[in-house]
Amino acid sequence: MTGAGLTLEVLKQQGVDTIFGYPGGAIMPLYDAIYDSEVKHYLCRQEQGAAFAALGYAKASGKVGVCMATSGPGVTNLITGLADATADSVPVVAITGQVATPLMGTDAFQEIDVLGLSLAVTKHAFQVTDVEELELTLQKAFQIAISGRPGAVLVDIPKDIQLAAVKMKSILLKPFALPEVEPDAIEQARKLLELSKKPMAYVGGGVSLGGAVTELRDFLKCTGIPSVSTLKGLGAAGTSDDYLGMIGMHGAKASNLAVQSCDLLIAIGARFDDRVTGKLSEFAPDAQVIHLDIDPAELSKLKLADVSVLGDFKQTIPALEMKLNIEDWRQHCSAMSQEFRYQYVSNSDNPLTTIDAPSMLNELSQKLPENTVVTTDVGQHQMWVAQHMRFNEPRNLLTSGALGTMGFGLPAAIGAQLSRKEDCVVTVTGDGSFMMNIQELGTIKRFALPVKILLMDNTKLGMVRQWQRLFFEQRFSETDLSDNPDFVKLASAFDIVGETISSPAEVSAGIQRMLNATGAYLLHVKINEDQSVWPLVPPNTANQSMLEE
Amino acid sequence: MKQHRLTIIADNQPTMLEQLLRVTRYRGFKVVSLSMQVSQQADSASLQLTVKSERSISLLLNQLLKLVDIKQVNEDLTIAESEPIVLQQSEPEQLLTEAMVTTNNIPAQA
Ligand SMILES: Cc1ncc(C[n+]2csc(CCOP(=O)(O)OP(=O)(O)O)c2C)c(N)n1
Repeated sequence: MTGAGLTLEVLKQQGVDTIFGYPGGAIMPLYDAIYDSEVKHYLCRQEQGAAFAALGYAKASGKVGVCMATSGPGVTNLITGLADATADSVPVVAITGQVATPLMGTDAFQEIDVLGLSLAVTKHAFQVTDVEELELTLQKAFQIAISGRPGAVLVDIPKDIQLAAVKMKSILLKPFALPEVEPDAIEQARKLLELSKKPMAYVGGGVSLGGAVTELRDFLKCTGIPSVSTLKGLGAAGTSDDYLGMIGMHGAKASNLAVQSCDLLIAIGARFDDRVTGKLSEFAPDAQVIHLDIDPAELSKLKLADVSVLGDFKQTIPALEMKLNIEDWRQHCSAMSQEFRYQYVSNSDNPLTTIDAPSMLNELSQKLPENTVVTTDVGQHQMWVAQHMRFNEPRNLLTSGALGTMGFGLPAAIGAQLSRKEDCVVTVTGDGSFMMNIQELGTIKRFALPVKILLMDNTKLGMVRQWQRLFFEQRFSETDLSDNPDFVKLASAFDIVGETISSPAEVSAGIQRMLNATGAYLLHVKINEDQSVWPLVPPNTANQSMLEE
Repeated sequence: MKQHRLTIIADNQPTMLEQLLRVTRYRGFKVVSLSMQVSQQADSASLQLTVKSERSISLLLNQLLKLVDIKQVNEDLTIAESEPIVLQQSEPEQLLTEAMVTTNNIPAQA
């Protein structure tokens, strides 16, 4: 067999049946092998779209996402998606074509220094220069992508290696063993828990990545500890009453205040991102910290932990279970949660002429079929989704958290739909972000994917404009999009049915028509250009000092 | 500012040295000296790297150990080279904090 054939065999061995990509000169032998392979290839319309589709596929299913691109510009287009996957710890394997080995290093046509380019945004990158190494390298790529804290891994395969004859050895590498849990750490953590009067669980994306959602919920239930979540942790804690909502810059008031006043913060699969902590030195100022993670480099990276618990969440979380006597604190948290709850105005009785975005998303959330996957882009609409929609499972919300990449939503929805064909997939996007990977409407058309698109159009780069309004004296530099295309017409050019709504009275029926549609659907919603996301903790400010409407 | 002398054992892969230096730079450490010897079979390498920074060395050690090609990192020696440059507060954790939050003037999610 050839190197190309072997590559596809390894993919099959790894259980991969779906890949996203875009062909070109240096990867033609691999595409020739794909031509009659069982592995199904989905052609996206730009390599960034392929990378995000792989990411969406991986995040929604828990499997590894695979994408492919040719050398040079194919790779450079992939890079943003790989950076996003690594930053959000999503397992993605990228396979790229390279010019033939004798040409490497000569600035050949479409040659680029792939390793130089990708090492900074992946967990690791390989370049195969001997076909005998190909199988082991591909196996290692999968092993690294899924082990411990997941991430993107790139394998660059020169054209002559794809064409070279090779025998398969059928190596199969398993994920690396996770670090042993230290009993001492558990004991110390339990001591802190026992002494705490006001404990708070701060839940990040790691819990879901570590497959420990059930363990987390059992722990929260057994201990009665209230919880808050990061953007990526949304859905992990479920819908219990002790869950207070998102924390951080656009976090719920009750969540932020509760964290600021807790005496013990239990960070679980979270990394004290500046968007979460606000001014770090004033974050949870009275709290001792227990930090649970699988990545030793995250422990005490930003906030010194009193107890660091390294290891598999499936072991470490249950090891902390105990009954606690914290009724006063629980009641305090739940009273705050009640008091600061967002007051939704039902769109049908909204006396205003413009649609209230939070209320619309709240209604959407209630109407979604069970197990719907929601993907978002980046901006105000993303924060409104995080604040006003409820998720039962972390895998049902796909959003670009750490990198905040506009253009994520549409291709991620494509990947999600292909990994969960029976489930409804809705992407909530903004008029700025939608245009960043608009070419992927072509992918939706080609594969007749029933993706629902809810486009919140404020004719602005809303989030940046909000900051200009608040912090740059209303100098609205380059954030106007009032000459947007006719989005419904645009969708219709890809055979996607769509409609525009602009008044509150149209919201309920619009949402219903979108959800009832059997195929793809665009619900183009015109919203007020001046609506802001509240609350907002200004940068480098303590989380209790939030600005409100 | 402190200097730290590290001894590193690594797989002698083409990506190794680049990764080592990239992570050292990105995490806020300056290279003071570097030497490397490759094993007889050319498959492994041992390196002596001296770095300096205001940041805690554990930050770098943890990140280096995550690199696929790096097998072992030991800190042999710490030398206080000169008085630390105090930013605002003097706790080491605060130093890191101040240095890390300077990117905060960018729009949310930007
Ligand atoms: C690729 C990329 N470029 C720029 C930004 C900076 N940015 C963050 S939010 C935003 C505005 C997004 O506008 P839109 O998609 O219309 O969403 P809205 O905020 O209006 O809901 C921009 C430009 C980004 N996050 N990603």
